[in-house]
Amino acid sequence: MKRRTQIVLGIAVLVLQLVLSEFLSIDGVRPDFLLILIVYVSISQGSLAGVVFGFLLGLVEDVLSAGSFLGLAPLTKCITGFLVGRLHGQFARMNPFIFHALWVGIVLFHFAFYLFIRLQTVFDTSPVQFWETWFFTVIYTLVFIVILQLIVPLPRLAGSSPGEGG
Amino acid sequence: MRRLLGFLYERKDYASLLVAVNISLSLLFSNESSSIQILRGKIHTVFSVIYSPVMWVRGVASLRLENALLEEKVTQLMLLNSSLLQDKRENERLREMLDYVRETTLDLVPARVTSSGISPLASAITIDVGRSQGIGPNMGVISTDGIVGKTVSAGSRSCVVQLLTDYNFRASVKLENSGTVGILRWKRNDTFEVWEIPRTVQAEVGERVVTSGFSDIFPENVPVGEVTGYRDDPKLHHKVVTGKPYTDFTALENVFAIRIDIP
Repeated sequence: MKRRTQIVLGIAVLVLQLVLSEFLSIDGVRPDFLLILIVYVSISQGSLAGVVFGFLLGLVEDVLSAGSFLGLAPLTKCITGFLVGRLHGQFARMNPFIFHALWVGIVLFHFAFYLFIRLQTVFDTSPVQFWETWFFTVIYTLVFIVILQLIVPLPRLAGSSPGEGG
Repeated sequence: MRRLLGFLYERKDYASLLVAVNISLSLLFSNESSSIQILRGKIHTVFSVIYSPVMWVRGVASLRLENALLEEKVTQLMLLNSSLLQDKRENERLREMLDYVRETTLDLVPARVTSSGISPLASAITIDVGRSQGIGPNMGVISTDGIVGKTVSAGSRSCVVQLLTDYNFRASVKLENSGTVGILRWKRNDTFEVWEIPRTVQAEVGERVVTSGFSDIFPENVPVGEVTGYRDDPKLHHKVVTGKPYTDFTALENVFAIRIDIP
């Protein structure tokens, strides 16, 4: 994927998130299209692209989002981009089940980390509500990743060549 | 130095992660700084302008439905107004008799919702009024149905409003019939909970929940919602009342910011 294509894709997903996320909101929970793009870019390009994409898109998300902690989305998204990027080129070396379990696990960790900081009081006072929110947020985004998998499978992007760390 | 740079270049993914984490943490720890707040206020003002076509399309799409609802509401309000006018006259007469002096004056500033952000959790909105209209942080925001939230930061022509649906939002409310005061917090599935209600208090389904007035943010008796049930958990020392808000948070377009002047 060329750098120009990545930038255009980034802007397109940002616009998609801006326009569609409000209409797709269910009980205050929205799909995170930016995270989906970060997962795809990281797996296809490696950790460096994941960190850069995660940080920049996270920063834009925080700046445009009302009421969020500025810095939280870039922090969680760049870590996610880095971790998912480690899977670049690893599909052929891994058991497919482990490969998929790893990126799903990283997405689960991403939301747990993000929501833990965002909803600290809820975590302290009502852990059940916290984990319910986490569950629905994760599931909603994962549904879109699974749908996208049918069109562009992640293993195809992950490739079989050894990862070069970006 | 050259070896260090070479090492960093070789490990540029780790180096970039380190830099990105550092910048993110610096931003996270300087959230409360006034320069960051001012910068965000300015960005929200610019963003409101960019986002206005989306809001316009959304507004046009819901216009017909909104019109039908408004017509219905106008009729209801007309009937209510007639009875309230009678009450007002009686109230004024009684206040004169008691030599009552109003201590606060309510001032509503109409505003349009310009954005609801792109965060995975919809817990705040941006409105198109700000400091230039006299609206600052910690001012109540209501709709024609009831409370919407409170302002948390303000730019010159925009404000970020923390919604009642934010899990971190708290408000002091009371049950209208008994006058019992509790703390409101958002639950899920279009419901809120009112905590700290004594077990002896009987909450009736359908009873109105209104603001208590025990804060500078919301005046007394602003409608919040109505009681749908309660939870009497033996582990708790109090009862938890559940309710449904009057405000439809999925269709917020026009709201009012409450400017409260205390003489």
